[in-house]
Amino acid sequence: MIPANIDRQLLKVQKPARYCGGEPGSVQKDRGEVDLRFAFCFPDLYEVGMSHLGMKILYSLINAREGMWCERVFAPDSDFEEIMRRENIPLYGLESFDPIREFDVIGFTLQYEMCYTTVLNMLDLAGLPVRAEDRGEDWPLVIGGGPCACAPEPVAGFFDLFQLGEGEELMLEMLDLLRQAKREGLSKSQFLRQAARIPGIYVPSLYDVTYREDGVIQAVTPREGAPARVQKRIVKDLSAMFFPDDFVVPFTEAVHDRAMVEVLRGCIRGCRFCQAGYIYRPFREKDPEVLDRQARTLCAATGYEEVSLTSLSTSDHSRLEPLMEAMLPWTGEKKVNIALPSLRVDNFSPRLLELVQKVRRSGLTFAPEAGSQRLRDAINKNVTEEEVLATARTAFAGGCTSMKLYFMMGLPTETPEDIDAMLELAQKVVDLYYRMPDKPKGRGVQVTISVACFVPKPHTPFQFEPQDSLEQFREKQKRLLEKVSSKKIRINYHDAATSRVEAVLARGDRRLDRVVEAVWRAGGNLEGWDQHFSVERWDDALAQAGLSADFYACRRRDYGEVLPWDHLDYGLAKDFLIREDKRAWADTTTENCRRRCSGCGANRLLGGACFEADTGVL
Amino acid sequence: MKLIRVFFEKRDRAKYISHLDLTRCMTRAFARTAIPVWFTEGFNPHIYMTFALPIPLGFEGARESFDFKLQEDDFPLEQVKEQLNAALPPDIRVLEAAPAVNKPEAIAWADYRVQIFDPAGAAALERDWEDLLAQPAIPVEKKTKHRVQQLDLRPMIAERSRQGEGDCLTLELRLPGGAAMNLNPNLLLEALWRQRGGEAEYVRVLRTAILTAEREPFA
Repeated sequence: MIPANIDRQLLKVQKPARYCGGEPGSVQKDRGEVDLRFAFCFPDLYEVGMSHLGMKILYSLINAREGMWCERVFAPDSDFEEIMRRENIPLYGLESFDPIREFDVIGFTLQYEMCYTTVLNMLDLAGLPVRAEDRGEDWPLVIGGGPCACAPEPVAGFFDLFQLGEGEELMLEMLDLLRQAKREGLSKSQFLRQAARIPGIYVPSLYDVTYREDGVIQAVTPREGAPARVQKRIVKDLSAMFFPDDFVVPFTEAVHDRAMVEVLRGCIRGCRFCQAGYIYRPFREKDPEVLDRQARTLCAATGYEEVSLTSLSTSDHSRLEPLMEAMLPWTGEKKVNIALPSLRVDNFSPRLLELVQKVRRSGLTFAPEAGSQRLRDAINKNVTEEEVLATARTAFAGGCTSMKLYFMMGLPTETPEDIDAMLELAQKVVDLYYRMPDKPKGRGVQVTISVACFVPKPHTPFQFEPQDSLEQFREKQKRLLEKVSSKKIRINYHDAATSRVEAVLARGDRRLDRVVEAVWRAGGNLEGWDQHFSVERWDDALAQAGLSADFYACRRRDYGEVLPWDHLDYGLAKDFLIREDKRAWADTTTENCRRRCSGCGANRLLGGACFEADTGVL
Repeated sequence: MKLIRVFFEKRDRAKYISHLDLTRCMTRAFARTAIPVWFTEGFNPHIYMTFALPIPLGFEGARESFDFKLQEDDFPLEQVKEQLNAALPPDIRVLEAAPAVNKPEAIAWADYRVQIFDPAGAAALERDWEDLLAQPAIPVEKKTKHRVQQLDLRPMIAERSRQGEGDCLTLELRLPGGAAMNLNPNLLLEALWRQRGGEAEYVRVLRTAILTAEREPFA
């Protein structure tokens, strides 16, 4: 039953189904039979969080354990937040409606930097002090995970610990330790000292950070037996790894509302700007037989009409063809659509192409990331102009009349000519369309160029590189808009101010936690949504803290500098990242991992080579 | 191919599911069962499913219905109920599955239990309600997709019972329902708010029955 005080408010808000749970697949447990309660918090709206596979995995993983109950918690939209504050409704779990401050663990997944203020807002809505030191020895334990945990210093002051890397094994190890600690009556700080010994757990309060006069970190020093470097966790064998056999199926539509199976982890490509391509290494595949079985089980349990084969680059699975062969008969019979979100067309066999075309819809996007081949080489985005044009030709022949091209501006080594080259590439696609005898009759073509601002990210070869200044970004955007001459080409670009704040937070140190807190206190929340973002709040808070955005965003780091995430080991050797950055400046590409090992170091996590036929280190 | 009518209740958390979301929820529930449900033919096959009188978001329903078709005429209807209930969330319960008797056009009335809560108390709420009923006419504007209709609600209200207790006034109302004329209780409540000069704190609406012109349960 929905408690009366909540029920009385829900008809006053947009999409009330976001706030009352009860969906098929949601897990109810008896409070009396549970001794460990976990609030899995996604610091964004329900429809965003419910699309996230990681949350579904950990939700099922924890709930599969007897005596443990994991509930879902999302950020309320502004209308419901206002009511919650006015009516004193504390943030609650969607399964039980119980306030999450009574839980044992509050866990946030940190998917993007712009969610940081939302994390603070959710802690506050829960009725908890946002700073870990102010919560002192009081439970619950507040933990963080997800990609931003790879460089979490700007939010280190708000969390008791971070889980680095993959959670399927680490989460249960931590929860077992916590359960035992609670049984033994240990204090939170005693528990944290023990937890810091579990590989993959980073307890920020056990590390002292000192700074040089110029603001650069002097040293990060562990205390009380914490390891000097915390190594992220991976699961070696994906096929034997836990995977849910059911999902919570939302009533109200989520951004991605479908079954998902994860076909592989890591990425062989090594695009130098892409954090995901590095922090999820090493590359591992799941067996087609296991994937087919998991997809079938999930579709039967959820009733979903679509199953997505997700990963960073699904076509890099070496046995995608047998997987598709196995899935096509039963998905056809059950009227289930197969979605293939991340494909590269360059390595397809004719048979695989045929199989893929059976399920692929015509919507056409392509991410060359850079306009010129020179710059694509520098960022190691191994896509050629011929591939872009060949894809466009196939799509146009199939009746498609629009194409979307994704680019970034401000990439290292970029010149004005590289900016112009985006337009040239778009123009070539337009020209190709009009030269095609079999183009759709009587219809024009529309090519959209979507240009993001490059944000240098930790654990990538470009972690040393400066971001463009706002002025540089705006000048480049202006150049693009002035040079576009065709109505067939449309340009979308992102606001540079948001990317600048992202860059500050992505490579920030601990001193920024005051800034994050000040921005939240000034009203910052749900800042991933344009209508909620305000750059003035960030500028003011940085100024008040006596910190400079340029120091974090626009400064080139020496290769020898102590970076705020150097004590977090994601398997990547710093020498490798330096080598890759140097290769970028020499316009030199690096081959994909399957063709040749580039010696990133991530195979240490596996304890052996990533591929059977490794040819040795570069 | 038999047209099967499924009667179900939709309570508590499920009242916040919109009609569109309920349709999707039912479609996925069928996909979780082994019921040989009939799909439409054509380019984009989907489960044939129609709701005779969709229930607005925020209302609970004690006996709602939708129709679908079975591919196998001898498939036991008890199984439809059992399998759907295993596949549906706890706040949506199938009560019965039976061959459709009435045509959807036969629906003429719907019964509602309207509970109005306000700190002013039941007695004050009852006075407001009586004041509203004492009006010779209750003119309202009913907006539909295509037009704005001027209506007088007064002759449409059949009050079947009334009970006041504490801060809650409970009304049992019979209102026109169906394709020809449908009166959403919210329209009536808005008139009541105008009458008393403000919304009550909280309202619960339960649709208790759907009836034919002869005031027989829609079957």
